[in-house]
Amino acid sequence: MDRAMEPRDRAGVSPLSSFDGGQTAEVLDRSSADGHQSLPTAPPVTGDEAGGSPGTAWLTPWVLMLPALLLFFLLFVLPQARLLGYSFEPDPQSAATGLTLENYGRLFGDMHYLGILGRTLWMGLLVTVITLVLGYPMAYWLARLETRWKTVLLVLTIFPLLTSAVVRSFGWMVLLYRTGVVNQSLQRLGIVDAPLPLMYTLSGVVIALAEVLMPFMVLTLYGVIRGIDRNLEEAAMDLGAGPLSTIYRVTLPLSAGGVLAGSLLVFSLAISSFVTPSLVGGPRVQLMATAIQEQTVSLLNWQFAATLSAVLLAVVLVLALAYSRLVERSGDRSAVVPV
Amino acid sequence: MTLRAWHPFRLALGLISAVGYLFLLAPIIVIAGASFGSTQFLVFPPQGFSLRWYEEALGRADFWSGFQISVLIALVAAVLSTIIGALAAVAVVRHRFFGRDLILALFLSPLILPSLVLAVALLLMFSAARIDPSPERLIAAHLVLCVPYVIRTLIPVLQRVDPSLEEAAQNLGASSLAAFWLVTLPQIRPGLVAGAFFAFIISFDEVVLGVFLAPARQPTLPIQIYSAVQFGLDPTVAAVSTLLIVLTLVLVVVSEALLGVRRLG
Amino acid sequence: MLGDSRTEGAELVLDQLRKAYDRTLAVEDVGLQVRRGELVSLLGPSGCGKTTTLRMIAGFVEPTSGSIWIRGRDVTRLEPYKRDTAMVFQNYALFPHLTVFDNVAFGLRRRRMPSPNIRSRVGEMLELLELGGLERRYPRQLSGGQQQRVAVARALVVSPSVMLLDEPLSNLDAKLRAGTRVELRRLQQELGLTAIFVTHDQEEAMAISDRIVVMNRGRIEQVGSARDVYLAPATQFVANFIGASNTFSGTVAGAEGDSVVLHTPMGTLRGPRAGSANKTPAADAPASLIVRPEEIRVSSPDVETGLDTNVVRGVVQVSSYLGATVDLSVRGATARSFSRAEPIMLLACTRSEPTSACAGL
Repeated sequence: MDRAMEPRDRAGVSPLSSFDGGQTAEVLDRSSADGHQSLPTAPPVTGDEAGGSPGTAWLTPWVLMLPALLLFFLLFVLPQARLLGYSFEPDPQSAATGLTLENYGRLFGDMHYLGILGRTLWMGLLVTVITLVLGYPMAYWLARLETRWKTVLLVLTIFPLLTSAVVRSFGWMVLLYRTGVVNQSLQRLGIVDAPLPLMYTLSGVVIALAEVLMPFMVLTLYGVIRGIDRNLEEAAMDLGAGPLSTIYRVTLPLSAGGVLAGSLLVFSLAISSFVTPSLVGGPRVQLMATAIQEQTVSLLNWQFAATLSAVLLAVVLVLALAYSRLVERSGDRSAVVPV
Repeated sequence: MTLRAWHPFRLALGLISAVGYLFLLAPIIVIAGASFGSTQFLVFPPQGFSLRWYEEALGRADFWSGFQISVLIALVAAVLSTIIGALAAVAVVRHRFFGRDLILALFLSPLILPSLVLAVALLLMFSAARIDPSPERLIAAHLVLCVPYVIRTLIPVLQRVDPSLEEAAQNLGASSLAAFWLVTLPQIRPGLVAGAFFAFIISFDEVVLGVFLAPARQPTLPIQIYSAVQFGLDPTVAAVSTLLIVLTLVLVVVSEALLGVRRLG
Repeated sequence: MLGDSRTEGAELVLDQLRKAYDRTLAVEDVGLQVRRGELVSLLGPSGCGKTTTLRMIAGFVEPTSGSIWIRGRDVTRLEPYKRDTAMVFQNYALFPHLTVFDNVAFGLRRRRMPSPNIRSRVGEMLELLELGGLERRYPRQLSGGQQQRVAVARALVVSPSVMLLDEPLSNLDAKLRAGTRVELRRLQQELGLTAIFVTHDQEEAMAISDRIVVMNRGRIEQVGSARDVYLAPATQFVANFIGASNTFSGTVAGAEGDSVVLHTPMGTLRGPRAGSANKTPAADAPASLIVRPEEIRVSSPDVETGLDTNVVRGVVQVSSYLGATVDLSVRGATARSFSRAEPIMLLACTRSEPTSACAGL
């Protein structure tokens, strides 16, 4: 036996050793709630089989996550927590101090702001319905397609998603204005007599936003429908169901989770999107996003901007929780989470 | 469903899908088409054909500097967020620790939470902390949006890498760091490239954070377009937008050739 | 800490090894000494702790308590890469991005061997395992058997103190498995390797090992040669797990010297006392008699056997012809059906077709 074979590789030091004491200590503190720190001599049972230096193996994930945790704490959690704090502070023009609910009282007591909230939710609903009605057949068609065009079509679905929302909204402005191609076509076809007001209206925002968010719906549904065993559809047709009734009785129920997930996703993104409403809707279509911008930039009422933000955030958070519960229940993250 | 090609159901499905794709691609087609028109006012279908708006766009120094700052910001954001995100993804996939699911949810939450709220929150925080507008400030903010994409791209890729490969490497004398570097990293390289690609695109196209946080004197290219579009339908802006579309398309096609589109989806 | 007397001459020593996950014990008080050049199998059903034990030796799992010694060095808390072990993984764990050559050279490069030496050493090893000419292939371009041999070569090439094999044959098809098993044993003996071989296949363990460690529920049930564990199982678990056996349960009627008499529903039976039952069992205590199939003769009830004990009557229900042997499923008569004075017969396989053997009952 060759004794020279003994491991001599000392070059690969443990990733922990390069960390200075300060940062390590912070990580230690962070997880002392976990009960790990109090056992320096007898390393705890972590169930972590990944190896690493014994005794400190539990530290490894925290060290790996340290940059991300710092980033998210400083630039995500902290500012948004501070923002929520502003929403409980009194209006800068009033003399009041201390914490107050007056901002929320103003929002929910004023028909103007209630209207904005209601309009935003209604817009989200319309966008969701349009993307679902158009997106489901597209996703189904794509999922059941078996040609080399499928790759091209998938690229065509993802490509708009990667194209700037500004550019796509710009496109919709060209399409929707008074003498734009949509109005001209409608008039030429004799569907309408006078040009429809589409630019700077809620309808225009809904149309443009439906297009902007369509890939999310199609890709979510595509993932779910692709996961449905085709044998099930073939079995249904074999038992005498027509294609429509097969879709209705077999495919649709089996993809219900995806429909719900896609809808929650599109709805959340619709009510919180800013670029399309501000370009296509302009100041005339008052929505949550545009109202928040107005309060922040034009009126400099940070407290009320924070309150509007908090309400928007609360709605999205509730939907996100429902979404994650749904994903958890379906057990397969990849099936429901789109691009 | 195994139906004959000309079955009415398949025809109807194909027709709806064609309409869907037309709808999906309409604004892109319109911008690209209208940018070749010769009229002062942007119309679709274009009237006449000219490249004068491209000449004008390429001659504008402000667009060039916007493009440069956008590329610079996106490159830095892509590199940093790929490193930060990859480390976090390894932690989440390869380790079990207290609060793992919650932390993962936190890391992914910018995918669904309104970036407008984040933009306002960051603006207020930066103002309170007297951190003036700068490209660095915008990059830092972009990282919050880019890291989730990197993490989510990498998680399934890492899950597909057999953990016993790293064990085998350690068993053969590689330290855990060396084992990751020599064995796991080469396996996840396509995922890293895809994650970096996403991060680049997200940062390059980003507008909402930019509107609130970018320095007024150094706006990124999408913000220049955003501002210009609010004042009118300028054919020069359409030409710039088309160039952006082409750039995106090239990136998508290249990454598709390198990685396969499934990894993007 | 262990005294020298316990580590001396042993290449690998496991001392009171325990592994607890949360509240469940995966491995409990496992103690073992492996001599240089010995191949020891860890045998048991899934979840018995054999793989956890192996992974503790490799350093992938940290023991809750106890210690591991390799060549007299305590490696219990040592990182895997500082231990002189080499493992053949169940799924081979070949690096998919590296060629066969680079896979085998991996361990040598980590040991900073000069590259001309690496080239010749890897070449030798590939020749030894009949992998010559495949150096530039990638793992996915190899057959299952070739992949397995690359995995073995990769572990062998670093001349480990202890070679660890985690069910290395389980992913091969049945025909290849038997041949590879013999080949592996030959290599191990020729090179004088110390090896731990984890398997759930008792035949494999018996064929390849110097000693077998039978494990169950995290504990060692018996350590011994294949002959020991087969002929003198220490516990009922070992008896049932190793080889086929027929179990007759009953109560102790008495003991005569080394043999014990049992009352069973099938009648009174007599057998040798098992190794673990070193004190005379109390009367009426529950006990089982375990009979290997090859110890059983089958004949029809009207044949005079000349035996007056250990004869059981029954009715053949299913007879399956398996070539070398015949499996019989026999429903035994109840105790009331026959008196003790009557001749009783044990039933099982013979070379002749015995379907009618007990038709008379």
